[in-house]
Amino acid sequence: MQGLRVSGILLCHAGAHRIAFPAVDVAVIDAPGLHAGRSRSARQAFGEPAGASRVLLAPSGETVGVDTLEIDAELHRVLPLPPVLERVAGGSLLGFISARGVLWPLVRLVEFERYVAGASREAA
Amino acid sequence: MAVPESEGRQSYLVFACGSSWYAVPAESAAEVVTFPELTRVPGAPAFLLGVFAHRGEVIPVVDMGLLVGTGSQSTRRAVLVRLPRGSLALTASTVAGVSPVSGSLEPLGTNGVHVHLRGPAKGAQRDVAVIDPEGLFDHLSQGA
Amino acid sequence: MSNPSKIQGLARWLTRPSWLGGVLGVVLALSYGQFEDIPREGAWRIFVVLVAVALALGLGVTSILERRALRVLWAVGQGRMPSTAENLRQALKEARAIPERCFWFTLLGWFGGALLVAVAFPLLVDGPWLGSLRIIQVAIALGPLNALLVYLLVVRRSRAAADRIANAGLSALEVIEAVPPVRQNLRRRLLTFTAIAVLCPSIFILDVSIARAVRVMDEILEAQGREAQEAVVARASSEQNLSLGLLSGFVILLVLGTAYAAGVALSEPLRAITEDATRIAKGDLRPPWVILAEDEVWAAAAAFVQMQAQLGQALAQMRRAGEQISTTTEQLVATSTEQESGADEQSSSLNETSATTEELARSAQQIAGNAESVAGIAERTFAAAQGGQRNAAAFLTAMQRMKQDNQSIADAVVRLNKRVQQIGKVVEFINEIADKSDLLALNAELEGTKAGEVGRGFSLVAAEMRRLAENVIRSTRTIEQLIEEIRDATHAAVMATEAGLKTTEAGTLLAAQVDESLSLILELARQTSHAVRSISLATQQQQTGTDQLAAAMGDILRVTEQNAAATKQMVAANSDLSTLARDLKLVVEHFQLVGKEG
Repeated sequence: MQGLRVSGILLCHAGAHRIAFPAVDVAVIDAPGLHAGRSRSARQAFGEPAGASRVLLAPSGETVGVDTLEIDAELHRVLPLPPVLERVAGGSLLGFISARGVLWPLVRLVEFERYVAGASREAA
Repeated sequence: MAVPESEGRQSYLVFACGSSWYAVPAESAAEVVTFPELTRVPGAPAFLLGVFAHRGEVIPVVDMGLLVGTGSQSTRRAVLVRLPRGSLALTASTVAGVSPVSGSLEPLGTNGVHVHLRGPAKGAQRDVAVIDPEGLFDHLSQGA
Repeated sequence: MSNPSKIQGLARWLTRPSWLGGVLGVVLALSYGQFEDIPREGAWRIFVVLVAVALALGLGVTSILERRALRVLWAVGQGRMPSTAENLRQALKEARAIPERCFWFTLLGWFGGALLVAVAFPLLVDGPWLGSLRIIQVAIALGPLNALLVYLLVVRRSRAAADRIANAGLSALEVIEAVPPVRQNLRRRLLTFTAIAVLCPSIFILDVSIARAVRVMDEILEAQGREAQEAVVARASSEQNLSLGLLSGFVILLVLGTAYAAGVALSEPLRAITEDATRIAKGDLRPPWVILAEDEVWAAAAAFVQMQAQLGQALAQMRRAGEQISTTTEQLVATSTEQESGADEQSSSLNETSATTEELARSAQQIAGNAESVAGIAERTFAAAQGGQRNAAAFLTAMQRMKQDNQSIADAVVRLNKRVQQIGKVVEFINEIADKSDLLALNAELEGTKAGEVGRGFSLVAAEMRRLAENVIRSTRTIEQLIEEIRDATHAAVMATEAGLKTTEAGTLLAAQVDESLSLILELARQTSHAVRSISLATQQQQTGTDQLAAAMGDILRVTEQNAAATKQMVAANSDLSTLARDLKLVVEHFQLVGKEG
């Protein structure tokens, strides 16, 4: 989406990788102990084993685990997604955010969770 | 510029990724870039190494070796292919330069990426596989 | 049966001259008879017959007697008896005795015959008994002479016969032994010979002369007148001068012949002895050969033979001696050569031995020297080991101290760990709280952000709180890190102490081992010292022994040299002996010994 702007982004780390979610996607941030076992981890989308220190709970109940977490309330411009990546991650990619001098892939929480679930089910 | 297709003496940017040589139509090839650390994309296939920002644009970087199946090649150099619909960077260990290529431009394979590679073609000094950028784009878009 | 050819017929040959005696007797008798005109015309035949009978009788008796006297000789000659030495000796005795017996036999024959004729003739022819007397007188006159002649002839033959008998199988000395020269009758024989040679013809001639003179006297007395007497004298002197002269000459010849025979008989052996002596003087010493003779000459011949035999024996002995000397000399030379070479060998081997002994002495000295240095090393080792033991003891003490320290460290670590655990718990607690706070703040910030502009202040506060929480978390993290570091350090310390414990234990073990080794070394050093002392002693003894050995060998060497000198002297003496033997041999060879030695 060209010219998309987002304010309120959760800049997360999944392992060594960066991933960003829109704040509106997240209802609550929880400790992983509360969602033990049921939670998918953003690491899995990068081909790494599951694991999280914070769990992002969507309003609809989906959870995605991440490691570090920062909330950026600024308004950021979303860099448009290259057409090649449209189908990537189950289409959950929105674009890229440039923050803190690096790029963060902006991802919709629910679609991402679905993708990760599907991918992990496939993997299993 | 008029692009006579499928024959003739079109100029291509010839580069190598590993031991394989490729040719990309010169007008598609925008530049040769050196890319910094890439941002990995969640859920991306292996040959998609990541993205980087180039002049305000997010450019995906594809490892030709992984794509074609010859093995990854560690390099910071890529050929930036710009098409109307988007841009793509193909890793290149060596860039030979622009030269005419002659020969048949039949697909090298019947499935996978090889459909979009043309040959056998002869460059100025070597045999090259001519890349069809559009086809490649299509292939990659379907990917995931 | 032995070889009879040697002395076969010897006996007969030996007594053949008897016949000569008989014949000569007859001739003389008949001549006498004829001359003296004893038998008258008619009785001449009877006389001859009588004489022939007498002759035959005499010869027969003589033969029988001679046969008896030579019976062994006859037997051996004919092969009836073997020619053993005993028989030959007997034959020899017979042969030597026969001449004298022949003399007597002849004499007996003469007298017997004369007696027969003297007795028978007058009886047969009725002649005067005076004729018998005359016959007996003639017999007395001629008989001995005849017998003497026969004796002399037989003597020569007897000698030859004895020689042949001796050659048949007797040695010279055996001959001498068989017929030893015991009768020294030469003077008596000469006397007898002279008597016979002188008296017999004298008697005979005297008898003839007297008879003739008586006859002439008788004729003169018968003759009556001076002219008849002168005619008788003239007749007598002219008629029978020739006959008388012949008869006399015959008798004289007989005498001379006898004398000649006697002389020959006497001189032959002497000449033979002289020849032999000369031959011996020239150096030709043959085995002695009996020169047969009688009486003193026989004694001389026998003695000569014995002397030759002795000489031969002596020379043979000398030759043997000379040979023995040669042999002995050669043996001695060989022995002395052997001895010399033996002495040389001994010398050289002694030299070698002495060289070896010197080497031994040197090596003994070396050993002694090495032993000394070894002893020194042992001493030093001993000292070092003792020092080492002291160090080991000190080490051990240090180890034990370390062990104690380790123990205290370990205890301290344990206490530290406890404290750290406690701190850890507190920190954990704080972390939890901080985490919860952070979470809370996070959510608050989220809500604030979602609320947009309205929630901005809220977000800020929340953010602040988050920062606080983060600070706390950071601090706790720092504390956790510190705890980790402490844990690491303590772990390291524990490891270290454990390692240290191990090390001390290892060290203690090592120290114990070192102590043991040092004890061993000490023991070894002590033993080495002992051994070295024994070696020293032994080498000293060996040296003494070697010195003694060297001295003994020196003695042996001296003796050997003396031996060598003596051997050389012996060699010299041997060469003298050799020379002597050679001279002896030359002397002996001068007397060429051929055949048997006597």
